[in-house]
Amino acid sequence: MTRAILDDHLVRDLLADDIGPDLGLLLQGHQPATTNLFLYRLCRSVVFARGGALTGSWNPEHRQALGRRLLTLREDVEVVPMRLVAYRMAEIAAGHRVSTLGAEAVAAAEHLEGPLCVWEGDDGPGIRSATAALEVSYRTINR
Amino acid sequence: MPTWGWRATSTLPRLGSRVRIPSSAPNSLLTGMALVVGGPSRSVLLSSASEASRRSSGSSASPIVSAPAEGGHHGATSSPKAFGGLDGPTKYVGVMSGVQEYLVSSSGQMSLPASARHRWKLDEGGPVDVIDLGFGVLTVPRGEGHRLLDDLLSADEHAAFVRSLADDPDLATM
Repeated sequence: MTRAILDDHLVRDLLADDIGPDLGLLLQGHQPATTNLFLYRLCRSVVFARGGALTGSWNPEHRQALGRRLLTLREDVEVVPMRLVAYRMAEIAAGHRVSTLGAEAVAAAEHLEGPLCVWEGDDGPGIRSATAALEVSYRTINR
Repeated sequence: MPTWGWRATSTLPRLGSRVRIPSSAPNSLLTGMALVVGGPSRSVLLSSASEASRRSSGSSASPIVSAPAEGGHHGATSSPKAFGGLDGPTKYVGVMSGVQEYLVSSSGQMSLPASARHRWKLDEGGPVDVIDLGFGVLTVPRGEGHRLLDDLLSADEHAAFVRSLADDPDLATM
């Protein structure tokens, strides 16, 4: 079974057990993977999160302790090591209009020979065109 | 998520379910124990004792089980030595509004009152998710542990955060 790179929106859904039909279908055929910067962006978001009905009344330290636990990735979620893709990221960033996060995502998908999957609400044109140029599979996932 | 698959049983009906705490659980379990039953969409049944303690004392969280209770009107039987050298039986030792104190036995058992057991459909026992947060332990119905992430960071809130990074050369989606 091949790996699919999930962006931070989809990783959040996976960790929250909030898996929509599209993501569920994807995971029937692929093992989940993500990148360092997608994971980092999700962690940053959680650190700044104010919480909802249950955790909103917690003090920030306690919320962050919960976030740290909840964002501990399951063993079956691979994070492509930076040492394997760093140079390729630099090449991609030099040739395409992508952020560092986008360069890593494309390089990781290329490395795993799997699709790069993003939530359709965060479909970046730069990443999309880079994947097209490099013949990397790119999918948008509906919620 | 590092949770333990504890299972509540109904072997002590007067006390409620018994929850076995693994021997690998850290001593921090008793330095401010939070027992919360209910998912993000439901109200907190038992609020964090450490929170209550901190608020009342104005200091950092203190152990909610600092000494064995005398008497034992709720039965229970073991002689705990683990978790801070506690002595005395496993029992439900005190009630304040929304905050309830427990003893944990040396075998790692903790009782859940019948009212809470009933509210969360654990009358016949059942599995729960447990998350060690360092400052306390969170207990929720099975499957609700992961869903806490929805409460902590909703999909919409995360999307808004990502949009706020639109000009970040490293983290923007572009």
